Amino acid sequence: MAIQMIRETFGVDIQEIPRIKVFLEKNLVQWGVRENDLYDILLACDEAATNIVMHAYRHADEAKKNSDSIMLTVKKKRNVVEVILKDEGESFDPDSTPAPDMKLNLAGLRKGGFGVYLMKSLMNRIRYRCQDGRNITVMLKVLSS
Amino acid sequence: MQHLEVKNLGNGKAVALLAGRLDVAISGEIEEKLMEFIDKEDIHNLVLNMDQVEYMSSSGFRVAIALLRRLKDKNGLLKICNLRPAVRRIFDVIELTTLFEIYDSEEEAIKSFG
Repeated sequence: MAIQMIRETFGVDIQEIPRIKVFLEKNLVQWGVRENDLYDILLACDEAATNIVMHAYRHADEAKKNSDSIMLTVKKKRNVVEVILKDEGESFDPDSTPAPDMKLNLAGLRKGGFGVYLMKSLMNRIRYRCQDGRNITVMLKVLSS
Repeated sequence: MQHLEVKNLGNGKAVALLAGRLDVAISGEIEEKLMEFIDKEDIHNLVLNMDQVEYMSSSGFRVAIALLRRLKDKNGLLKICNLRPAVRRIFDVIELTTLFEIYDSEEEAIKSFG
């Protein structure tokens, strides 16, 4: 069976996050991805891209943000969707992020931790590596429908 | 309606109608506007009506937690109503359904303030 694949680059900017969602949703729907599977992939990808912008480029100046990009590659083979995000920001390993702590969040002592938790909960596998100065995040989703 | 409309019901009670997608691109602005509304109008009890919210990322959840914290500081309450199934499922994944009081309708949520 042939592999379906799409690739697109996006700017390092939070205003690009909705564009990523629209691009991904349009293509996944065309591939027949539906309902909870669709929502899970869109949300996991949103969280991964948000982490790149908010964390990997937290200390970057405007020139670097403007010249860099987030490369999104999505593949589907049979009932498995693979999402790959590449960027050249600071390394950011999702596994180094502690699980969200509701008490600390409510006390205002820690904001978030939910994004990585969602990525891990909604996808079947998350892998991160830093290679040749590039962060590569790979997420796998086994489709249920 | 864009992403936010607010209704002051008097006696420190209000309803915030949210719409569309609540992602990182819009959540900061929503939080800022709601915090300003709560302080300016002296709101203690707020209902978040999410009937028109089709998509919510962790940025949206952070807004809800920040609102809950602010209202608790004022000895008030935050109630959520009309969650769509897709959004409700994510509340369940993060186990936020135990943190928030969630109602099926706006009327029920308002009544619960007493």
